[in-house]
Amino acid sequence: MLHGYVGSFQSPRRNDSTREARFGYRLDVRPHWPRRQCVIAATLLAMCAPAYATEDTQETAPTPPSETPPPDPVTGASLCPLPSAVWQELVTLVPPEHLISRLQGSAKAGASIQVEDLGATFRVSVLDKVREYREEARDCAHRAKEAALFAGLIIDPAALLNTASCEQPPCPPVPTPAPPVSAEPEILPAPPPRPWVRLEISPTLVTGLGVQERAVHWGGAFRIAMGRGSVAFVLGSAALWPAQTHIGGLRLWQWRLPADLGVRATLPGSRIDFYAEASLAVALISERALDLAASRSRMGVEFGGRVSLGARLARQAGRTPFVSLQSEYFPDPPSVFALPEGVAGQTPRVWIGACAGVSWGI
Amino acid sequence: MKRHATVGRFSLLVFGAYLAFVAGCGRDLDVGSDILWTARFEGDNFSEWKNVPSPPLPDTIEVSSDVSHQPGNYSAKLTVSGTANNTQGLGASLVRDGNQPTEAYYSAWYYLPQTITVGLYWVIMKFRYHSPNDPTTEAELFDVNLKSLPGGVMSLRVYDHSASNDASAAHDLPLLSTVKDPPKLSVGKDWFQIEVFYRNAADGRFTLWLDGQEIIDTSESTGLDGWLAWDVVSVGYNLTPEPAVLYVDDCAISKTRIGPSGQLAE
Repeated sequence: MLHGYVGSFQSPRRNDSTREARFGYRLDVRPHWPRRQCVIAATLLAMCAPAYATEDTQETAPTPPSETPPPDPVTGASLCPLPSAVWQELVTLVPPEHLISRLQGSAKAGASIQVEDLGATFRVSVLDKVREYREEARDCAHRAKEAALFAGLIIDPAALLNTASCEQPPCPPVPTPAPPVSAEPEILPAPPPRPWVRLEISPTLVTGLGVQERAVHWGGAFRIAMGRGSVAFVLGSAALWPAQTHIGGLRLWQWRLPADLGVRATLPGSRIDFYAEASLAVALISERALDLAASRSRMGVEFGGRVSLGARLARQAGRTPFVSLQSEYFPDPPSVFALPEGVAGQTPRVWIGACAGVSWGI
Repeated sequence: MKRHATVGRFSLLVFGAYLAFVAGCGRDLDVGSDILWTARFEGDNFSEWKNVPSPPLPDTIEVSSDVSHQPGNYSAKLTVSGTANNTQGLGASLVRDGNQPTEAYYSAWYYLPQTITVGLYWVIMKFRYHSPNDPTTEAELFDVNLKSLPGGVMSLRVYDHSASNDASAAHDLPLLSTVKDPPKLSVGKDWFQIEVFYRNAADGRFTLWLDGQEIIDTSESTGLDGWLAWDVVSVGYNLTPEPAVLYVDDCAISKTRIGPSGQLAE
């Protein structure tokens, strides 16, 4: 709540608002107002100053005014106030280093604060800004505070405002603005939970290895994976179209119904999720001879293991395409028997296949 | 504890279902058979044959448990006197006549308990047909014979009735007659298998294997078409010593070759 105005004029006139207006200064107060303003400001400063002094002596944070360098920055032949008194008041408002750096950084070499005692008035000049105060009582301490206040406003208003807003001096120094820190990590919205159930349906191609003529089975595969974690239970089956094959010289019509139960480990990616499966496999297999004098169909069961590798687009829910490769191994597959040959051979131990279809997360 | 008991019962149930499933499906997939007909004598009778004529005495034919071709317990025992007075038509015969497939493999296993010196012939397998000129009369086609070689060795010969009516060795089939090292039969020790492929068609073929070894492969005297009979017999002429005993087992007609390792039953 500082009152008064700051002006720059060539030839100041006491309480001549007309001339001041003519110089273009915005006079938001009447000529008699500055005095009242100054009195209020001086009163406030007078109330604060003792407290500053007291606190400064008790706490060593700021440099005591007595230890400040010679008041070279404040010059003039004024007796009331003395330049040294103005300096002492000024360093309580603005850090000395700020004062020095601002004055030295001025375009004018040897810039300083000049104080002139004009009797009932005194004049303060700071960096081309001049202010004349009327103070007929010649209270030098009061004048020193007013001069310091004016100089502080010109040199470093931010520090002054900070000091003025402090309710209980000494106030902490103006904190150096903290360097810009990187923006806090963006708090992304929580991803939707992984689907508890994933259904997969696809056409599939399966063929057995190790026989004279490989039977290529086309069909449809269905799989269901249950679990939200990276490891889920998986159950699958496929219905395969019959195909012709040769085992031990027998021409056969072969049909399979494989199923498996195991686990799936998923490695999620940004765009593609990869997964691997290991499961116990069981398959119904049916063979029917095509060329025997007396042919019949027989169904067998085989037990083994299944491994699979797959990939799908990384979407948590909904439909997404996937592809997978699989291999099944049956250590003891059924034998195919016919008279008079006897055991013609065994059904394939190793089956390989591929799927490409749609995965649906629910 | 109750939950554990429940889990235990469930596991037992699953295991039981698994065993039942596996047992029900079986490990071997028996997809059928190419065997058209068999006679294994395991019923201790000749019911598998269409015709078993009673041999003239003193010749006999019977089911015997003396020896058998494994697996099994019975075989047919054919005993012929084989005296010089015997003529063809006498002896013991197992007849499978008529309605034979156009082409098939005819197989029988034989066992000779002792060496027999064959004076003129000893027929052990016959193929007969109906002559196109006389469909009601059975005519002789091929005879598979045992014959004696020097040193007490017994071997085979095939007699082609269409080539000659002479019962001497002159009407052996050419391929067999030119074999430098005639096959030697096991006597008193092992069973031997004679298997013949015969195609009864215009592009007929006659192929004979002894214990899996091809002995004859010819198209002569084939292409007759029509009615065909296959007999397993023991008809001898001038056999010494007499009576001559021959065991027969595991006779079969098959669509595919049986071979020595072939199975006639599961």
